[in-house]
Amino acid sequence: MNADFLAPYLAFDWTAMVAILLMGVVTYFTRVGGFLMMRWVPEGGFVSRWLAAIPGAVLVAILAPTIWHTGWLERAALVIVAALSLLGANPLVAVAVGTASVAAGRALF
Amino acid sequence: MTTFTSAGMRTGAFLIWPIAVSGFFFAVAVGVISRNVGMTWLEAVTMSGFVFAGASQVAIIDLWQDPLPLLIIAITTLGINSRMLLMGASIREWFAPLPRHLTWISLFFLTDANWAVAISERRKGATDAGILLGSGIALWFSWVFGTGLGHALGAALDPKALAFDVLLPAFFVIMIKPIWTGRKQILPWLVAAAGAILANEFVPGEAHVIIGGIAGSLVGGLLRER
Repeated sequence: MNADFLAPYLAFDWTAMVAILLMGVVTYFTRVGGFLMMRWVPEGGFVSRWLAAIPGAVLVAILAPTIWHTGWLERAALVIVAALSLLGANPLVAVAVGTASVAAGRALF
Repeated sequence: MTTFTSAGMRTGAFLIWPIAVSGFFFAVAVGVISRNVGMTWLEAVTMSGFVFAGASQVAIIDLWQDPLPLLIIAITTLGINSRMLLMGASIREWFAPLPRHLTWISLFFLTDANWAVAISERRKGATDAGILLGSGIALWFSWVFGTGLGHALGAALDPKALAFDVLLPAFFVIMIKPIWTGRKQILPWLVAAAGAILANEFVPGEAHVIIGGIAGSLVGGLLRER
């Protein structure tokens, strides 16, 4: 094992590392923040209902424009993933089937 | 009643291992897509080791571009991981009697999966808070090793032919299912989707995640329980 072999593994960009550090700090704040602060947030009040609604809304906000702009083949595959997942299939199997069906579709058309 | 022992940590690691195995394969996929958007191996492994929160990592990989939108990255991470505020709050009575450093270390390893395992043991009467840390460390190793392996394997694969671009939205589709709690979410999610699509059309950059997320979650917060 020499330095040339390792070089591509150890390469990095400083801005990328700053972004990752930022994510880590923000995430650790969410891990300890609830333990530290939530005794001041009344259960069932607006703030706690708002907090509970954030992750789903953010995930939908990420996904919606992608679905809006993607092709019909990809959309059909995502419907398959959702259906398999709702039917109780293992999530990894659902993702694999969806991805494989797009790969198969691209090979055919 | 609260204790914290290494036996509890081993119990946690034992209880979580099936989830850690499936987490390993998820991490392999995350490693593959991280390579696909141009992250280096060290960047991908550092992200998994330091952030250790799958949903937010997948979201940020989706936003990964040159130049990196640092503010959007921070706010999106906060939005997706804000669910852990509620988890941290829920273990307060269990961890409050412990020396604080055990709590700060345990909380670094808090994820949806080991929180669910630990809290269900607690409801069955467990006292040993080491369950959370032991299960969290087991998940952390499988997550970090899987990411490193996936990124390295990605070199040998053709991303377009294998439809790796579909992996990312497919992940979001399956991540949404456990968050679905009932019809009360239809309106907030429609608002989030409409806000995000409109913002994506008319606002430059990646602000649609934040605009849709804030609009949808505010509607969710304003709806009263029925």
